Amino acid sequence: MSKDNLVLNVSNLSKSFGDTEVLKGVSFSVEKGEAIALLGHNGSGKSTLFNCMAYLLEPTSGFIRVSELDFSKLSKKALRNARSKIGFIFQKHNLVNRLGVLSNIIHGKLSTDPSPRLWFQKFAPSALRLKALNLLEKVGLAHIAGKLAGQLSGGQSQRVAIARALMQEPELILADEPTASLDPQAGTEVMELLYKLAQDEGITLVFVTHNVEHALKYSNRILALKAGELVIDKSTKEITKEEIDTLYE
Amino acid sequence: MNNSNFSKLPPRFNFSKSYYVPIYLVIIYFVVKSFSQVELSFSSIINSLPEMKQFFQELFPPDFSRIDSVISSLILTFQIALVGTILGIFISFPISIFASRTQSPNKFLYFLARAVVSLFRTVPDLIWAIFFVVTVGLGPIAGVLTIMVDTIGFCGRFFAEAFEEVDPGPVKALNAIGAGKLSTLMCAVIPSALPSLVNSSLFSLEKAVRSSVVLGLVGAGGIGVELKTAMDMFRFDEAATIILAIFILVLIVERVSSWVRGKIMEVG
Repeated sequence: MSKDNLVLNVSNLSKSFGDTEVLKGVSFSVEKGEAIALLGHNGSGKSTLFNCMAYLLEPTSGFIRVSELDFSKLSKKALRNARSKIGFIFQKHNLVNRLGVLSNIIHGKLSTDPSPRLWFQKFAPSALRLKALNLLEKVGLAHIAGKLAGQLSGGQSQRVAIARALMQEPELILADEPTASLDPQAGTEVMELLYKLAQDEGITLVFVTHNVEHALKYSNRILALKAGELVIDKSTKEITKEEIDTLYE
Repeated sequence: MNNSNFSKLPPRFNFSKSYYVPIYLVIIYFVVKSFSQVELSFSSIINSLPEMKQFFQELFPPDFSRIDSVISSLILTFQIALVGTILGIFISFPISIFASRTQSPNKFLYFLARAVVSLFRTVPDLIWAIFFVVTVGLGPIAGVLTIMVDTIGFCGRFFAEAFEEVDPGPVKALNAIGAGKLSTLMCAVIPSALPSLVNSSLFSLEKAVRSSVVLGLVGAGGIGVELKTAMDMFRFDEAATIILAIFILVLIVERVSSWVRGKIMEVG
């Protein structure tokens, strides 16, 4: 694995809450352009790992490097800057319902530009408004640019959340069960879109999912946790149904 | 039915728990005693009916001869309420950010802001009015300052609660990408809390209009002064005109604020 190509490096990561050890010495690396599915049953430590990867939760031990930056050694401000390289998509879209779709997308740029002009699309620079509209077009929703986020369906909201993540021009997208709150059809559409955009833009994608079908279809590598330990780290092509079944026993 | 699970059921309400009984008895005694202490008697209400009838007869028909003066006092009353409320809202906004558990930058500022808001809220507006009449003198300024302090107490608390009740999802999303505290506040917290903020502001205006009438009774300006003068001079027909004017003002303010509130909610 070439060092220059590494986007994410998780090394010997452990996380405990009180006496409960949720992650136990998890190590893996992610190369540029990879699409990785993270599997595991409820309570296996997936969400904790997700939060630790962006240092939203501080690990008990071990380190995380994103694009060669060791998150544990960064100051608060430097950590905020470093996070701008990571786009997030959550289980729930986490849009501000009372603001317009375009304002929500432009907020993605707040990671690198704290200007008050970015608070509301009406005051944002023209170039950014146009970029937000182009991203909205990419996720197939240019026609709803004038709507409030609260007026959108679950699937549309999640697409807008994807556009917001792309607005950051991230090197890595972390998606925590992005289809969990959607119906099967909307879920598949969102996953298809996310995978395609990540591949087209050359963005590395790590997504947590309970949907084995999505994991097999939209990844080229599968990681799996069981009781806080990394038990599978294999190419999607090589993985067998039996191996996946053992995760849910 | 599986009876072996019976012991696993959570406990029922147990009235006879010995340590509760004295508490129940004290509460019952206090309620009964309160009724007797306030000298509430059906006969005294019945006996005062002729005086009530006499009073109402003197109220009607209302005397509109000083309507110009009543209207200008009424407008001044509304202006006292409006200016006091606007100042109160502006000052309570930053205080409420510090008084909100989720937004306060540190615990010291949180407790300080909470203490200020509690002090302003718990001291009745009439006491504040007397304080300002004594310190800044008779007139509208005392009324404005009273309404302002009362609004800080009211809005400070409800704004802080609105900030605390905001959906944490969008805040988490902006924090995650490295957006600063101010950006998160302006882009996620305030827009999400906006309906509650507008609601509380409109309620405080309604409350201020009602308060500003009473404040005039202690010399804090407005129509209360007119009402007190009319009552002191036993000009009950003139007092009826003033009461009618106050009623119309309060009704208009409530209707308009209810309409504005509806419009704001529609947008959401």
